Amino acid sequence: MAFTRRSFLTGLAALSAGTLNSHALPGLRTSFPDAKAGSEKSSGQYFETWSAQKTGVTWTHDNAFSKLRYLPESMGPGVAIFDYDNDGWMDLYFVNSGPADFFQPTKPLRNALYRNNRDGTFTDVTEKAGVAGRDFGIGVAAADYDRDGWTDVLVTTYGRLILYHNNHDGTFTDVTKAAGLDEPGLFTSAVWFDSDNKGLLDLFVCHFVKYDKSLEQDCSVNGVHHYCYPKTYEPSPSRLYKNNGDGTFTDISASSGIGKYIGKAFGVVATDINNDGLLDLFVANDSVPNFLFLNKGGGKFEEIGLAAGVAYSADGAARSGMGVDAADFDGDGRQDLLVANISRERYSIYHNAGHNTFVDVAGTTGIGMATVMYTGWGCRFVDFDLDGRPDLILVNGHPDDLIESVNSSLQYREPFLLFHKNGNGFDNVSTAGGPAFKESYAARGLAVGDLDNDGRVDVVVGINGGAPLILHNIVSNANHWIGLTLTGLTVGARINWSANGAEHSIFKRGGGSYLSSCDPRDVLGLGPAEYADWIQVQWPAAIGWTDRFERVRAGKYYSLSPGGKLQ
Amino acid sequence: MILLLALQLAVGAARHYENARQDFAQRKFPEAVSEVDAALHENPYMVPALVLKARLATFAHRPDVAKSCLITAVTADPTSEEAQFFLGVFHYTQNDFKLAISPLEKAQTLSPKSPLPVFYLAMSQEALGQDTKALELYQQAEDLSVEKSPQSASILVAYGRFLLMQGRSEDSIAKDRRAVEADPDSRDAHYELAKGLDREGDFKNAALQGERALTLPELGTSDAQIHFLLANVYRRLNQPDLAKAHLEKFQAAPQSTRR
Repeated sequence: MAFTRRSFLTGLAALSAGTLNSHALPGLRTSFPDAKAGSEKSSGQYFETWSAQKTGVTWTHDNAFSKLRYLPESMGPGVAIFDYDNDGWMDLYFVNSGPADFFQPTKPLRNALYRNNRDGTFTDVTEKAGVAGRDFGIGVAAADYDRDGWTDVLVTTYGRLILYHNNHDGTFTDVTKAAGLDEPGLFTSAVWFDSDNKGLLDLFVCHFVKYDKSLEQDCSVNGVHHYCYPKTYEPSPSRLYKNNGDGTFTDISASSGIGKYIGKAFGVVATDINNDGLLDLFVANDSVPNFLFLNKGGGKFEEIGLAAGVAYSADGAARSGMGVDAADFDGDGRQDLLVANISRERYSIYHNAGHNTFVDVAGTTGIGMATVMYTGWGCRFVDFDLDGRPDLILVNGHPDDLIESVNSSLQYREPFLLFHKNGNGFDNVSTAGGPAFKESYAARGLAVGDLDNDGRVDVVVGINGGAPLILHNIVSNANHWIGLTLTGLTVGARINWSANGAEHSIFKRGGGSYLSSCDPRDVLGLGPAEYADWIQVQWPAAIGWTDRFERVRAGKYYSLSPGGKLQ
Repeated sequence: MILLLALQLAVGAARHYENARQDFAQRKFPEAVSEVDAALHENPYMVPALVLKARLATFAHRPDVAKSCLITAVTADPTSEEAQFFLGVFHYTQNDFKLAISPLEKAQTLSPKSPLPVFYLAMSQEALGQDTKALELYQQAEDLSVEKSPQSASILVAYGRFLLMQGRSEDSIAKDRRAVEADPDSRDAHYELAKGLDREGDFKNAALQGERALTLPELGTSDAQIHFLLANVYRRLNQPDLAKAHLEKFQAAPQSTRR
């Protein structure tokens, strides 16, 4: 950084008084230009906002705000989109604050599970389901960890983890203790993934910092408490739990090598950076270097963030990473990475250059300048317009609610950002995002999923201290789609397809975004083609099977098990 | 009698200010503070003295005093290019880029041939994510800074760094090479050139420029930044011992973050 404040001050020292000339002062484009893909131009906006009045989702997040501004207040909430009752429609789960050593709510707070009524409305089934939480909840990760065909829910909190086992009857049971996950901490994002290719979903949980009320600092400015920057707190290692296959887990943080790296982890995504069939972990840390845990097999990981070029900025500065995601956004067959950082740091979008190395292409893709004023949390690569290429949504908000009192250039509430993938980079199409993109929010968690089974991927955003936003995808074009519900172990699967001769690919990563959990199904964008020429599913290495189907008709969701037929 | 007294005060203020200015140039900061206070005691609205006091206050980590002096100065004389410029720079250094724009634009209007207001406008617009405006302003600043000097080198370095952030590494390298020509002893210029060369895959010359930067006085670019760069460059050059040595020095240095 050539022009830091320090360099400026040094420059001032060299100035003679009273002279300025002395030494050392230092559109939106809704185009789809890929002719091969032959996709249709989108008209109008991407999303409409479904109101609470329309949906019945009246739950709101209470951030436990206090004048003393305790750290966890600023962190949540996470959201999840998953099908808890196996009816083929995506339900919603929201995480709320609750009692803690620094907070006693004046009225009971709870998480919320909403059943999808299949008509754009939802019904609150929290109490019946038994997933209210009532801890100081932060994040959520949903998956079928016990392979019984029903999705279970892990909630991260300030205090502990909560594992809700799905009872197959619309209810859940808190099995945290029996599962061996009853540990204290300040947990944020989590990801279910098969760490050792044994066919079971293991669990990585981000741990932020060592924290309790007694460790809170006074970060006052002019006598007014602000939220402290994370560098104020001591770092802490994250956790890796091995799934024993009998409903219990074993903490293998130490033996895996992950436990020796102390960070301040906010976001995590499991992906395969070197196409070796082993799932690696990319962890965004706040104010300390990011971690890239390369899976060496046999339950061992090697941290290669520095050598890979994803730990620091180009100037060797650790940034404030929050949300993360992974996708092959440039179509070269390798998984690229994204980190949402704090204002002035620009978000990082890392092109996978092969050989376990990455290059930050925030400048050339336009993501860098578009994000320089924002602080990012939830984020996701997903194809919103069904042209077969991943677009990108980012939701933002500065963590300090008083930031405007100390810096008029920044805002506490910030707008969402939406980028459309073009041939070489991304076009900022935020102005076409819809009404929600014209407002500003203290956004945190973000999950994507098809809430109305129309093949167009919708978005749910958790707002710190406010009501969630449900963004219904209303992209209007002639593009077609195929939905795919893979059953069983799916994280690590690779889906390839061809439409009108244009080939596309999705690698099913685990986790990603921030504190949140997305619709496990995949929507394959076909452009204007009414059939996929072919679809190939390469199942995770633990399954070791590839399925291929020719000429698949568009316009519906298909279910697939390894070796099975599209149904 | 009153006129005589006023004249004496004016002369006294000017004399104290001149002393302060000389002390400041010689980095005798305590003496400069005394003299500038004496000048302002006799003439509280003496704009050059207010600006000088603001700059001294900045050194003393008293941004509140600096801001107060600069606002008084631009209020007393809105046509003071110096006061407007330093008020803009003050906001820039406080990361308050939106507030920096207006006084810098006034300074630019008052002194259209000076590259510095344009330069700081460019950096402010860059910080606000206004890349098109920033690009135009950097070019203006470069055009106004025709003589080879440390100042023009600083402008070229910032311009080159901006271009590198845009992914325009070849253009960035060209600016950095000119910065090195303008000020061969600029650590910033050698460092930024090394970064551009590294991005372009010219690791050997990147290493040379990085090593050269390390030998120059540390003003803006820190040793840690250069060690970080060199660790990566030597790793790419397959010189693990050198890479390791620089990495260890990087890790031993205080880690920087923006927060």
